[in-house]
Amino acid sequence: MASYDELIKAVQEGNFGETQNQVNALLAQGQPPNEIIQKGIVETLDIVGKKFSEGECFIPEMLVAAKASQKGLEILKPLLVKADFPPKDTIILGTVQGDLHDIGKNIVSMMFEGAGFHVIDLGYDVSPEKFVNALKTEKARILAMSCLITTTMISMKNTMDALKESGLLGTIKVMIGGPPTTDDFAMKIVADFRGKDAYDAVAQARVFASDAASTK
Amino acid sequence: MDSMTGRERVWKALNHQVPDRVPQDFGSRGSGIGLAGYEELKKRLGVETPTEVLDSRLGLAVIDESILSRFQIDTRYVYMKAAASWDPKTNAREDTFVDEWGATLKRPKGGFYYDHVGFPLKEATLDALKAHRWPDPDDPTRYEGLRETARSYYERGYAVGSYMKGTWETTWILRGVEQAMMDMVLEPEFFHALADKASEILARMVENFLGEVGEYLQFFCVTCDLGTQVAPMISPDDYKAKVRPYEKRIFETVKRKSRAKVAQHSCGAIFKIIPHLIDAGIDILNPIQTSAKGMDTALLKREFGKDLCFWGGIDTQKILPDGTPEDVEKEVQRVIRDLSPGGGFLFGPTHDIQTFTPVENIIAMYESGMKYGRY
Repeated sequence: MASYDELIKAVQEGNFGETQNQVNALLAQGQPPNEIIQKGIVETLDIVGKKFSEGECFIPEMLVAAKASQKGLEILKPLLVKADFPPKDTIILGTVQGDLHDIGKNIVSMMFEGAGFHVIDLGYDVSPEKFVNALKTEKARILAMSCLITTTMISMKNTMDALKESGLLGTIKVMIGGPPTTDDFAMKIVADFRGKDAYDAVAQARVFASDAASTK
Repeated sequence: MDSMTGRERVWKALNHQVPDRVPQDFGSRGSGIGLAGYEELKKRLGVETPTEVLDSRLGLAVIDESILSRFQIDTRYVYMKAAASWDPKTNAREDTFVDEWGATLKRPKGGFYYDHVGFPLKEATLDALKAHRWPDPDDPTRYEGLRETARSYYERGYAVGSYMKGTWETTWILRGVEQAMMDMVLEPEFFHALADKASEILARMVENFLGEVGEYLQFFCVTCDLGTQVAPMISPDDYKAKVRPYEKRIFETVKRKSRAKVAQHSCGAIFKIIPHLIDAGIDILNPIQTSAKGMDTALLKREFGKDLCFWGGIDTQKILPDGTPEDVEKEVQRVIRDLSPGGGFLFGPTHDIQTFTPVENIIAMYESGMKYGRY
């Protein structure tokens, strides 16, 4: 007998096969896909993200849970589309130009996805132009940029300049993250938010999404 | 006038005794300076000697002796070399090369260093481990000429150190950091087999290296990054069970083959893991990333100063690049006050000094080190 407790356990343990078994079994029991996402995937990633934020779990545990959640979403997402359930919002995300580090960005990407966002992950070494183009093409309202190296923080500033030039600045929300970033730096480049970890980033993305929804 | 040689000064400090002044470090692969920044420094100090590259992957310069002596640098370094037979398969168009372990590195356009982007054992199984083409630790070309270099530094009175990537980071370049971390949870058998193989090779390299230079060496540093900006990457229990045994094999080889102190380099917020590092046998912790959460110098000295020497301490992430010379001086004063009592402190940057760091801050750092470092 499948249950949300079992699904949560499977995702937390990073058990890919069992995650998919539980998702399929819950569907067979008639649970709606959006509810499975909410009560299974979102719930688990919130637990894991919070634990990580509080120093109770670490990158490997976070990674395997995020990957397992993706395995569950592989089954659930197409069903959402069929049921005409739009995702919360689109987030364009990437590691900025000149920086090839992506483990933090990948975790955040999976956490966004697990939280129900439609994520376009542009990878690493992403130029300001590429960010701008993706925001335009996807009509996305949230941009999330990451960097690890101190010297590539300038690429965040360059991207903000490109947003301004393209006329997008002010119409979208920008969050930044990564070890060398600070709240002061975010303020300096006029980014809306700096996430101190993945959990923080997801929480803020939810705020952005609900702000956007209320001004629709 | 200094009353001690650099080696005497460093050795005393590393043995928790008080030398005449805090020894100073600059110019290694973990405390160096990027090529562009170095040109600025040379210009400011009126040095015209052509620049040599210390490390092309990290884009670091060999610091001219006149600068090292101006900053009263007590350390010099000798490193293992790549085997002469190594073919880096350089691709100029993509700006990539392949390292000796088979991993591909790339420098992004406009970037300052190469990072790993291709991982030879990413999809591998236990069988593939056996088939992988591993570097040969017994290739004598790795160690040619190193004895003479080390001896020359030694005879000139410097403390001689060295660096090497440890097992944990080697698993990243073979597997990809993300996969290596997932292996710890999902494929522990593979993780251990890979770490065991890597550490066997690395320990053998260390053994051969120290056979050449061991008698001249005062400290040997193994790099093993364990921290993010806010927390350890892995749990202290995982470190103990899955990383420590393999790093320890290298530490023990250093101790068996030389009198050198063992240093571990780990960036990030690693406070909670430090007791396990001490258990693993390290003598020195580098680089004390003070900008990371919980890496409070006064607390570190109080909690671990009896067992550990500290090496580094001057922040390259925020204070050196973004501060004023006055900020730097204040920070130097603070770090020396916290870490130097009773010896046990080797003064230096918390990483390679990044390009765009104002030259006056670098000068302020070392001049303040000399000013406030006197015991």
